[in-house]
Amino acid sequence: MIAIVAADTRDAYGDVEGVFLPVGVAVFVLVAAAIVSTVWRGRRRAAPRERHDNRPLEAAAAVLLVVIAGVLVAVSFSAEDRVGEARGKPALHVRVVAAKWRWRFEYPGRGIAIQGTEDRVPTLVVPAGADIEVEGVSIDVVHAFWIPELRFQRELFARRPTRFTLRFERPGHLSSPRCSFYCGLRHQDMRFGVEVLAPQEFRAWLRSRGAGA
Amino acid sequence: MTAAALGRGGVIGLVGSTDHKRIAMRTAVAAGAFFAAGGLLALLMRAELAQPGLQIISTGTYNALFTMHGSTMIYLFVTPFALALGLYIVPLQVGAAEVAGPRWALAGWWLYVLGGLTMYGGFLTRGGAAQATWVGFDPLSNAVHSPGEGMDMWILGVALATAGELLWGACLLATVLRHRAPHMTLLRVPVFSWTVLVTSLMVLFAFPVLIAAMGLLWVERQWGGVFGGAEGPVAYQHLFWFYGHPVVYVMFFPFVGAVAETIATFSGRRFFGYHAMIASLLLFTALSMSVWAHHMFAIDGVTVKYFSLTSIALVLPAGIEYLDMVGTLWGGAIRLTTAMLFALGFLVQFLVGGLSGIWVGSSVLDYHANNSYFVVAHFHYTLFGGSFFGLLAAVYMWWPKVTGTLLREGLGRLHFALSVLGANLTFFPMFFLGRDGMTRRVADYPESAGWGTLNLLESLGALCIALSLLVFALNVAVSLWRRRPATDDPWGGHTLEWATTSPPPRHNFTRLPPVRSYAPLDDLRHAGREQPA
Repeated sequence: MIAIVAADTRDAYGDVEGVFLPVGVAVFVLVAAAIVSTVWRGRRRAAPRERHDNRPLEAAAAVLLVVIAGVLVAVSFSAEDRVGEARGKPALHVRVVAAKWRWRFEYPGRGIAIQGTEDRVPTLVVPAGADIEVEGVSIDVVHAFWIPELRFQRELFARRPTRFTLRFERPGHLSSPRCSFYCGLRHQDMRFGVEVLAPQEFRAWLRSRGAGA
Repeated sequence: MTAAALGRGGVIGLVGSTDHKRIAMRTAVAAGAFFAAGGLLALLMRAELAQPGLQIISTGTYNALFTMHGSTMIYLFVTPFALALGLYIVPLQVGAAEVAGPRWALAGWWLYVLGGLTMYGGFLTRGGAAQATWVGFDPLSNAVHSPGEGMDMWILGVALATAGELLWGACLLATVLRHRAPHMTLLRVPVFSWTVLVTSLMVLFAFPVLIAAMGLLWVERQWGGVFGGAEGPVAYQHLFWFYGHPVVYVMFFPFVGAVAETIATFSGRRFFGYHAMIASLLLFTALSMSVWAHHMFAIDGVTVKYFSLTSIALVLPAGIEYLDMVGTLWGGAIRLTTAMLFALGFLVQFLVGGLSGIWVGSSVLDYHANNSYFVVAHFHYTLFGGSFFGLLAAVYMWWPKVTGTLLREGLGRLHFALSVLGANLTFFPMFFLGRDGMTRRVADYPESAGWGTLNLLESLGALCIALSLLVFALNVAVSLWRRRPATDDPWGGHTLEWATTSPPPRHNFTRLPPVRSYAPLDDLRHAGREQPA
């Protein structure tokens, strides 16, 4: 198979977090320190300062804030372009059907459907290192497809298909995925698993389920 | 008007007075009662979540609890309290004898209380109270997925309460624009009254949309055909969040204003950077109307970049407001009263809420944080760590003006210490639970997830908050039963409400000092000295 440009949502998330987290922590520490130190020094002052504004300082602060906001927007936008978008021909097409309060995963053209029940959490089986095109729908209320391990989430609606492309880099089992959009009585039980298989194992799995690879 | 003008007591005075101060006091009492109810619901939720598994309540009950907790705090407590603070203080600060449209303001109180009682009446119906979240998402809230009268009563209650709040918004806007004292130009209106002015602008633009959305939900439940199309559920979210984001600032700005006045008063100097503050409030208000779909980033087809840009742009006005707050502290002669402690607590804790708000303003980060406990942590830091602390700063500062008595400072400090401990113990761990994959609005979580310890800590924090509120209730009781009379101006305030008696007479003033700036009483103290540039 020809190499396809990765659409790994974890990388995009990590790039943004890598800027937002240190900036946020730094701003918090600086402002909190400014508040504490001004209050500490001000406790013993008898006569307050009389100056009531400082236009150059405010203008400089405004410029600095615009620059900070500009950097945050730029970082966020450049990552946004890489999330959930298909970059080439996907290796697999999966249809996700959400209902109160269970999941169903269909592999169109391969005759496979994995159906969860109220008591059994279903497992989505996918190959590692390949782009997987997902089409998600609900058959009743709004649900959301959230894979915390991939830092990725999309709402699913009835009669309004949601399409996105995911990529799982390494084989393994993900146990956190769940419906994240509140959907009524048993919302908290609406979980699913993801089994990421090496490509040859995935082909073997397809054959074992009676589908052509 | 005449009956009320006499300041009549008894039942008629209680339910029919058009004095803005009495309407505001009644609203504060009603909002306090709803707050106690909504807080009890939260304690029940925290009791259930303290350990994995279902121990105390069923999932259906839990869903009613969080729906009513959120609905109470937003529609029945923080929003009406913010506006009631304006109803009491704004006419005094601008030197008016009355609120504009006093009968409209009275009608607002009736609508608000009837709305709240209607919403809570849902608990008495067979199916229990509403369970479709404070948002009332369609199609979850339609007749198929939420049968029963509880949901209908929720819709009616939200519409009634919001209509009342809309009337108050109109009265407050007209008061600031039309009832100012002689020589009080718009750029001499004190900071608190400015925050209420921009708040009422957001109320007037956003609240009618919520009332319309409730009307449409009602029609959808009775006859269908409104949100049934493929885009219907998305359309409902657009309508709702067009109200749902501005209301966040409605629940925030009056408390920013109260904190600004508190900090200026107890720093012994007038507010720093007044003009930049007003400009940033106006910019904030304009942006508030164009950020709503950042609640909808996880929907395919939403123009995420536009809403991400406008959301992150809030860094500018928010940053200027912080600069002006710190600028007021800087060089001040600081008095650490209880009101000042709560104002400082507001500044530090809201910073956590604001910075995490910029975080979820990035679409890429929100694809993970949305609907998780990260968001719950974020908005409790803004609403509890921020707005509620600002509310308490306002209560501690204006209590002597409103009641003519002083609260006890010792109990106040204990109240503050327990509040800070409780708030951070309850809400900080939620950031980590959310990042680790815990969704909001769940009664239960798997034991294997390893979230038990942090959830137990949060529940202990909630108990600590409850304890802090008992201390506050004790402080209120002591203050009212063992009165220590307050003078007209116990703190050395800057604005006109401190120029009249405590509490003020029916028509507020017998005479007004001259108004030459946004701090007329500070001007009086400096009379004879050279005025600063």
